[in-house]
Amino acid sequence: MPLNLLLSTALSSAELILNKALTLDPSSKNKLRKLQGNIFAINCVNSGRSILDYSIFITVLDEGILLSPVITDEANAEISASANVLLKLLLAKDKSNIIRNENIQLKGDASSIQDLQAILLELDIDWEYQLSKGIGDIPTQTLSDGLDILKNFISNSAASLTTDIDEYVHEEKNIVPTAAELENFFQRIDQLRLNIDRTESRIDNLKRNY
Amino acid sequence: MKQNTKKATTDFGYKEVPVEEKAEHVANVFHSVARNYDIMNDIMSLGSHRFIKKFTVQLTALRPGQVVLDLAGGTGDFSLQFSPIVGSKGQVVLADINESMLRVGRDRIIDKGNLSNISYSLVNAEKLPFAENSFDCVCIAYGLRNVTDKNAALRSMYEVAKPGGRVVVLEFSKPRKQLVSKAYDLYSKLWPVAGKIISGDSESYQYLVESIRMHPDQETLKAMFLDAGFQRCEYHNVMDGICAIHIGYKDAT
Ligand SMILES: C[S@@+](CC[C@H](N)C(=O)[O-])C[C@H]1O[C@@H](n2cnc3c(N)ncnc32)[C@H](O)[C@@H]1O
Repeated sequence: MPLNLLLSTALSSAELILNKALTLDPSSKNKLRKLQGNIFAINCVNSGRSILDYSIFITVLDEGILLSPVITDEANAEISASANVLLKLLLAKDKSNIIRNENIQLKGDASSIQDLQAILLELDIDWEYQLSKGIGDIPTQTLSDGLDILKNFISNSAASLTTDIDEYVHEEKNIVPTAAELENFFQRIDQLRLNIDRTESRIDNLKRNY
Repeated sequence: MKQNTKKATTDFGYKEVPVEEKAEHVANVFHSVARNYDIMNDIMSLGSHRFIKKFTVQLTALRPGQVVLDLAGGTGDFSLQFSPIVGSKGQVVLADINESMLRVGRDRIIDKGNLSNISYSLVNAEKLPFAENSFDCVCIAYGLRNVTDKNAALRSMYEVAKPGGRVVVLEFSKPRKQLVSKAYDLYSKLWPVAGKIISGDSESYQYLVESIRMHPDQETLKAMFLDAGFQRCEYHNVMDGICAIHIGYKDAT
């Protein structure tokens, strides 16, 4: 997918949040040292929609990590999954359950990727909260460019998640999500949509006032 | 044969000045705007210059241990970001033609402390004083349009890049949509006025407006990359092409 300023800014915001969390958690930071110099790829695949097919790279630095949309050489290890599995992984409280049950492919140095996973899980960042907070910092120009992408992204993920859930219901009766869980999830999606609409009208307002 | 006695001239904004004087004129502009540099950047990039710079840093695709040249690096914004990425095993060279920019940059970097992997170099981008094949990456941000002979600069960057290395150029460019282009044109007419208010100097800002309009557009710059010897070249438009980031590779043979 074409690289753009919004994605880049989203990545730098996530990077900032992660690095902040790391400075607040010296033990995780220490564990991360062992992975210094490693580059990990997170591949969003099999979505069939170009907008969701992309890779993110995590480089472990002397201090902290770097998130980037491109690298020049190969990554040491890769993790690949569909957009909604990755989204679930990001938002779900019980991540280990998802890691066990979902279709996630690992390639390369599996043990270091597990180490990284463990460290990131331990940081236990509330991404949803961070996302809703962070949106205020993105410049309006960038935001209005990217709003459509975000809208698409959310409706697509929500749609495919629904089909996914349908499949579970039919194929694996034992992991049917409870009605309350579903309700909760869709409420959050709606909330996110609302926030975006609000941001949009805020941008329109800003534009009018300039 | 009749000798052409007219002096060779080059563009300085919309003005023509003798080739050997452009560097001096540019130096004066940056001496004059150095202090208000960040404000000016914010104005010109609609408040997005930090985000655009970060995007550029990402596109350099640096990794720990690499050597990078921050060319026309001025007050060191990029060096500050490169330093933690290449880390203790890597190296950053902050290079600029203008001593006062370089000095401001060095002071800023020393203030932040613990950035022992950065060194400084007074250079002209057209004739880089480094050995061939020295850098994994050469990055020049908002610098190329100030260079008198841009083709020479690109050739020189190609030369000092390692085989397998790359050159990244961030520069103002041409918006793709006419509407954006018109709006931005109109908007930039205000800068000299803003400059007058902020720093009492409208001429330097007038130069900035003109130098942006004179700068080659996306495809022209891409062609110049290929002319300079780069094997692959691509560019990413930022904000509809108000800025563009060009990347050229020096493939290992
Ligand atoms: C707009 S500043 C950009 C500084 C920095 N890269 C940034 O983005 O913050 C342009 C810089 O280019 C430098 N410059 C102009 N002509 C140059 C040349 N021929 N060689 C090297 N640097 C040059 C100026 O001195 C100035 O510091």
